[in-house]
Amino acid sequence: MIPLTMALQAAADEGALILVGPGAPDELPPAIPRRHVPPGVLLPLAEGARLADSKAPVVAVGGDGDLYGEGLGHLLHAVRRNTGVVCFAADNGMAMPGLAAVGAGEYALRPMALVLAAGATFAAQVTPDGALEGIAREALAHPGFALVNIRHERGRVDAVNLDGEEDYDPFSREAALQKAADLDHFYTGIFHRAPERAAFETVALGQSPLFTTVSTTEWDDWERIIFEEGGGGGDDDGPDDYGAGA
Amino acid sequence: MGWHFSMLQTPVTALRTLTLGGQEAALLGLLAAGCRLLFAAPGAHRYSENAVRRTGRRVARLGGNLIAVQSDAAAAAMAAGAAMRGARAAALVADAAAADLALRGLDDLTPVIVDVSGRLPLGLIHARAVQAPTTAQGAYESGRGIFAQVRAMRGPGLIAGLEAAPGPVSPLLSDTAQEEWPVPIHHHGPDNPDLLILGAGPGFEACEDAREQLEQEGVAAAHLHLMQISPFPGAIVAPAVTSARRVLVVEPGGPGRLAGYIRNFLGAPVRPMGELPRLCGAPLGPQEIAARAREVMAL
Repeated sequence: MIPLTMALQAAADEGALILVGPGAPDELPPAIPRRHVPPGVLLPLAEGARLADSKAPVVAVGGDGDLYGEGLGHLLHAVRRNTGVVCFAADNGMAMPGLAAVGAGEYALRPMALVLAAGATFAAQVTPDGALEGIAREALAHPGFALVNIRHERGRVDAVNLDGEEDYDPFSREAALQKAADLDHFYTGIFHRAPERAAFETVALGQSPLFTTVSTTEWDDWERIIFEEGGGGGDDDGPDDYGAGA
Repeated sequence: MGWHFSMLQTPVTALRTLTLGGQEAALLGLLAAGCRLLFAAPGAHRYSENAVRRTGRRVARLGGNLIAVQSDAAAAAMAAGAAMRGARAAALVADAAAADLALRGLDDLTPVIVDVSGRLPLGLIHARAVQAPTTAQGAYESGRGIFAQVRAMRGPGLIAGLEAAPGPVSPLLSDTAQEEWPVPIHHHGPDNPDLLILGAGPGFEACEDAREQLEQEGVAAAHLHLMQISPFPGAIVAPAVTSARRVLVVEPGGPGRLAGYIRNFLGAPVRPMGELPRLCGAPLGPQEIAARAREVMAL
């Protein structure tokens, strides 16, 4: 996992907050500053941090059991919101070391198909080899939510690199969905990118000051906001005007 | 559900008041404390649609955001993530237990969870500061003061049990970080009573009505009601409990929670103590409390 380490180190050098969930690669060197978080909440934590300070990059690194199991709902909502978080998933296909092979008779989860269906603006899949570093850097430069699925699978020789397919257009969602739904091949590379879609925080928050200390000197503003225009009124005061993320 | 909103102008002082329900008052208090980033779960919207909607409008005018998210757990975790960056952030949820579960392993962060369901779940593991205001003004003060409290206690905060009827709120502004936080508590009745009714959060009016009913029957009854659960105000509760001949604990969050706090604080019950669980969704009336009180008196 050296290429991922190098990408994370580069992100850390730029002041990124790195959150690490259970199942993330064990070999991340201790020199990379990060916070370990409990299972299932990796992405909401990362999104909250990003929304509080949209100038600082946020990177989430988790295992497939965390991101595609307990945290799957959060993943799909992070994707559809397109919050500016870069997510690396260490995916060993829900295998549990030391246990009998998991998956006999089961249908493999297809993370690329899931996130593309949810509206992903950056979705890539790699094996832990040299190509990871380049894709990781592209993900880190993406303005919205980016998922890089790092598929660990020993002896996998049938991977088809999308970079080698001349007529493949990663800007086409339809093409990406077609590849993601192809059960006969295992594709690597950048499935899809849509950098033109603005990140959630730039749409929802603008330049909002998110943490302030209100003092009595601001009483005039406070009084105007609280008392004028009613702040609403009655039970039929119009449609919801909050929740850009809904 | 949702409370009607109206504006009143006090004739005596220059300070105007609003008439707000407990949920909306608590959320307004958060804004007064500088909170500009709130996450609302769908259940919170269902319980208190108008309070959430109006809070969204207010925070937008103040330059902040109220963001609708997918679940209670997501709201709590996103508020915790924002707190990681130093923001005063809050999560509006319908189930504080689900939010609390999402905060496991994150006890050092300082998000504020507001449970708008009206329930008061006791025994949560991660919430360090727990407020259960019983009046609209109290709810406002809880919202205004809890960020200072969570910062001092270095852990998440919870405001719950918000079933206060609409009442006047003076939306005072000041930086509560500089203020002493008084322990919100109600204690009414004689010293050394025959019976102490001890409640917390929801059920304040029912407890007080039961006390008056018993008093009319000639029982020296007192009523102690906690609006702050954590840090547990043991220094106030202990002498009140030990000076009463009998104690009836009206349990807001299921059997034995509040009584357990008291027993833990005192080491052992020094007076016969009865419990009256208030199961979720089953409000207690004064008749029921008074009836149980008579049973406890006969112990």
